[in-house]
Amino acid sequence: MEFDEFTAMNTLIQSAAEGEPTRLQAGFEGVRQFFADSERRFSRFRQDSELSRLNRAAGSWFQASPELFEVVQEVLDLHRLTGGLFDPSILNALQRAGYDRSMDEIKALSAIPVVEPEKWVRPQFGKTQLAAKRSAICLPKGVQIDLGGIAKGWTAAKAAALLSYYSPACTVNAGGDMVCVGLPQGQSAWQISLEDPRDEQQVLAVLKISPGALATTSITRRRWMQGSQPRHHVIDPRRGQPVESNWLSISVYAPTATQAEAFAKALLMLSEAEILAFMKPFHQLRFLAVDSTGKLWGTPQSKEIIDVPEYIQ
Amino acid sequence: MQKINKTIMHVWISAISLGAFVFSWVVLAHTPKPTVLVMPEPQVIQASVPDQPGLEPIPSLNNYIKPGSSQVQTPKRSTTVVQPRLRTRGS
Repeated sequence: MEFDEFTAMNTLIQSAAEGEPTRLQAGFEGVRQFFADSERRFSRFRQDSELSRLNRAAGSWFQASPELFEVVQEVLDLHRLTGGLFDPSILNALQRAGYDRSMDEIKALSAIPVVEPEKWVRPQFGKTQLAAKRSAICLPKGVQIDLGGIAKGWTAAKAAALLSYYSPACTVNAGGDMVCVGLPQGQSAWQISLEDPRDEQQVLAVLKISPGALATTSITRRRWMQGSQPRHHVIDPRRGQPVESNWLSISVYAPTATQAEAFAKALLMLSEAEILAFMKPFHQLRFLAVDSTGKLWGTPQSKEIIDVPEYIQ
Repeated sequence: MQKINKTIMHVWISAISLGAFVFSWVVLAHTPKPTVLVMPEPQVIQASVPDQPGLEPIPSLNNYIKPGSSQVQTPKRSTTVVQPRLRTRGS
């Protein structure tokens, strides 16, 4: 297995693939290029990105690239599928919570200024209109979207598909959004370490993943202080505030990366009983929840993705 | 003539209706009464009601690792866990 690591979209990207090393280099280079393109297109921190232009055009029709159109279409479907729990139109709330610049810049600052509280009026992202024939998007007036995690997942999926031209077994991991294609030689699953959200040096479990996507969303990684208030990047669209979650992280295994990402975000907002009710119709999905003590929780089906630890003498 | 016929018709219809009503009343009053179905009293369920279903605990590596070390507890030998290089972490 050959590995490649680099930073893009404000996160660590890891690619791994089986095959002849010199041939794989071209594949890894393609992955890097694709992430660079995606960053230019989907970054909300760049005023010239296509996403920023779409946000500025809210209230009128915007001629989108096929890539942006595809992501927004998937996001809209997932918004409806999750009953609105997954909602990208929390950009204003995210900025008010202090996440108005890249995480590297936030970490470099000693303090994030406190913003006067304001009554949260939930944006109507569900009323977004799409015109598939002419690849046009019309965000409702005042709606501003952030495609952060979902764009990473989408990019990881496309990049993995690209890498699969060079390798029958490959994976691309974009800061928690991981897509696996094929299976490593002689293996019945991909083995992936589930990091402890309390301590990145520790591993809570080894997961065994069939070809598909795995996403982990955590409230412990992208954290900062706004005044005396601890903040994180997962916003509850119902309140316009960072989620007050029972869970430190949620991992979801799903057929596609965008599904895994959207459901991981949605589950983070739910209690134990709510998760069970919410997940009932979604038989294909598997999830793992990590509570504040580092304990893992799930359903009997969740155990299907837990690997029995291997030991060496 | 037509008026007389009309009046006779009215009287006739009224008389027939009244007669039918009285006849029905008498017939129904003498028919056997239907058996009253007695609904059983709701029984108090003695068995304890199960709690609302929740999530299950899932075994993690912590079940095998001694706190503060990377050693694995197995009945006869101490070994280390092979941790795959690929990792999933919160974004």
